[in-house]
Amino acid sequence: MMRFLAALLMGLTVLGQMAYAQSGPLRIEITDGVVEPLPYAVPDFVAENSAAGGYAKQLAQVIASDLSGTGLFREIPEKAHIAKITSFSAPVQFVDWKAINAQALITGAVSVSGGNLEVKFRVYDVFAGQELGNGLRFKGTVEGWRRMAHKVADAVYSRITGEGGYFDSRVVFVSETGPKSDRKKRLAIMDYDGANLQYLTDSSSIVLAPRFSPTGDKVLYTSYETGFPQVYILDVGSVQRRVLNSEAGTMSFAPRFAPDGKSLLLSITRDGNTDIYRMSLAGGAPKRLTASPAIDTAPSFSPDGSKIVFESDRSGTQQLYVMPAAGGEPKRISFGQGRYGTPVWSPRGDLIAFTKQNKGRFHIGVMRTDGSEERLLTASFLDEGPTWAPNGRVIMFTRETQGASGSSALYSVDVSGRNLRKVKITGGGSDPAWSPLQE
Amino acid sequence: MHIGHYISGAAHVGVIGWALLGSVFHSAPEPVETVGVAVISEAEFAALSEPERAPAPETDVAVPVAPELAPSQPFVGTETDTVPDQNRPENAEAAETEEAPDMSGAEAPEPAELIDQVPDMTPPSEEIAALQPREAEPETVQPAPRVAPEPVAPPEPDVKIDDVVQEAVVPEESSEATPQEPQEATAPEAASTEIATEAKVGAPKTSVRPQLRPRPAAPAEPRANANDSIAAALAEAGAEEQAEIRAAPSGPPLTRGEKDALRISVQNCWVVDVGSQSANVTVTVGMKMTQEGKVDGAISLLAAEGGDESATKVAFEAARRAVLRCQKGGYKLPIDKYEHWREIEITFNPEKMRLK
Repeated sequence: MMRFLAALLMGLTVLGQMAYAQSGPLRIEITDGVVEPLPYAVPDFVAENSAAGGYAKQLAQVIASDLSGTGLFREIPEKAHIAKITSFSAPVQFVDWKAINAQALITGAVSVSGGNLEVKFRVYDVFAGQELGNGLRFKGTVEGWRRMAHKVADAVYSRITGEGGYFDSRVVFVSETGPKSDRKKRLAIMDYDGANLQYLTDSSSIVLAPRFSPTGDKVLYTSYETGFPQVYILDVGSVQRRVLNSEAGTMSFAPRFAPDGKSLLLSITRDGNTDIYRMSLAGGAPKRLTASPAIDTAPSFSPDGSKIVFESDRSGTQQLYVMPAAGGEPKRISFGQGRYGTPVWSPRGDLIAFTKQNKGRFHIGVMRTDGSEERLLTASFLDEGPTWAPNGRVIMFTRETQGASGSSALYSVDVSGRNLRKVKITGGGSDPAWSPLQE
Repeated sequence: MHIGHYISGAAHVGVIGWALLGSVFHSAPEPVETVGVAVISEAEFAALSEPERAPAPETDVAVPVAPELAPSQPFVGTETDTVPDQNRPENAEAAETEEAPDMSGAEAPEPAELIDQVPDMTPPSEEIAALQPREAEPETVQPAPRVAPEPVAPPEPDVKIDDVVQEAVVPEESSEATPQEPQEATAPEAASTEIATEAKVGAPKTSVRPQLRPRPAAPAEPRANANDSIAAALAEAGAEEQAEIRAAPSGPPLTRGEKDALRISVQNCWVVDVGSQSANVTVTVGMKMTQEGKVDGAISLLAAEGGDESATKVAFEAARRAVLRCQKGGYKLPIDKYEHWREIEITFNPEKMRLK
């Protein structure tokens, strides 16, 4: 009995010591951080020869515009810099950049030889005092200096965020000019930031819903050139085009490329019924994928090409459905209030962007591919037609203002719902479609 | 025979004879007590056993009669209700009639003279500065361990309390041969009305942890092929364990408040990109600390969960930036508990911040 009591007492003592003492290192867990732009500095690039002097500042400005435009980064202006980068190969004095709270530093140099431009850069984690990745070098023509700046920005973005960039990409859209009663529409293409605008068609006929091919060299779109809607394919380089479905008595619209670029989905209205079809670019009759008396339209492939999301009013209201790529029984995924349309599968494959109309307001939103976790990112008189950036991080869409003098413009928003921005374009625009990253 | 047998035999004979011839077993009959009773009838018994009855209420108390009320008639006439003027004070009339003071005789103040001189910005002398009242030092509250019949003034703060009151002993400079160890003066115990038991205040704050028995170093046995890496890993793990045993801190760990202060300091610099894949990654980083509260050496990634390599790398870099950026002059950690935070592991878990 005495032994038992002694053992019990000893055990309690040991337990008490264990509770009292701390074994090993101090351990804490942090579950709340801050959501704010990461401050960075990008001083003017070092001009390694006199001909490069004009590009040294412009390159830094475009890179800064790209990074700051994401809302994830905040540039520390040059006037706040303590140190100057005068040599690309000289060691960085991190103390000078810590003092202005720059968490990332981008240094670069540019040289011009004949008609060619060479840009090299490095990215530093200032507080860790080390370089993020290795330095990179780009070569190109002097005319392509903006693309080179975008490529540098993409690399910097990727090294800091761990995700691909989207700056060296283009957007095809419907350019709109003139009053609402007599609006001229034509296809236009531009850099993602609105630079280098070019028109692909004239304004003689209404054009709608352009879509890039996976390689970015072709565009599908709908034109009313013949008086009723038909789907065309256009080569961006040569601006040559041809109609894809010329079957008499039918209307075709809402085209979208398959991930392999060899076929497309589109809606065809035949005998008053609209269904989704798949057709090969090589020719042949379209294959019908849906067979309901309802209007099935706006199809979009999943990135792996195995599924299709589309909108349909088969339930009485416009909702989103997912079906196998070869057709089959669709499964409804939208169950919220209001009407859902224009679904687009994210390049990451994890989300579906859509347009929602509810209580007289339009929204751009995202949901999981099974319809869960719906989040509305915008709200206005009229928001519609989302398109994903190549990295699946940003959505561009059309916003139209109310009234007779209302106009359409292109906006972008981060997938988190932050950083809503108006895209700088000449005139109005609608129906944007983002290209993949350029080679 | 022994004489004892004779004595015993004589005693037994005496007792038996006394029992036979004496009057030991002749007892007198005990007296019987008698009680006289009286016979009563059934009626008389019923009358005696009947419970007490409550007194009957008196009914001839006069009950007050309510006066007969005349039927009330609703007010059918019209009468203008005067709305009281809420903004008008009762003596408004008097206030209105009050005459304004005569300001004719008043002289306008002279305009302030504009002095175009730079004021003397030399710092005040020390005497002037000394005029500023000092802030009163906060009272030190010290728990008293005993209850005394008479209150005793609390000792000066930061004075060690001992059970025995003794004078301060200062080593004499002359006695170099046997230097006496200096000993701090102790103060008499303070008293209060609250009992503070020894278990509460008398326990030592720190205690030296007994040394563990050193483990014999395992002799390095040469092994071939794949066993080498396993042996190396085991040896490394053993060395880490040994180091952990050596570094096992003693004494009280950091309080919750001290841990919270560190956590808040770091989380203020932890920038989370909620829309990125790295927001799905939980990383644990480890670091050694200097006594100044700064990171000593590199921060290492100890564990990661929830993302691919690229996302993990970004999550780790964000965690590292948070620790390094907010340390500035050093995290505010109690130096007397340095052994407890010589090594720190921080887990950055963005689960609450993810987009849902």
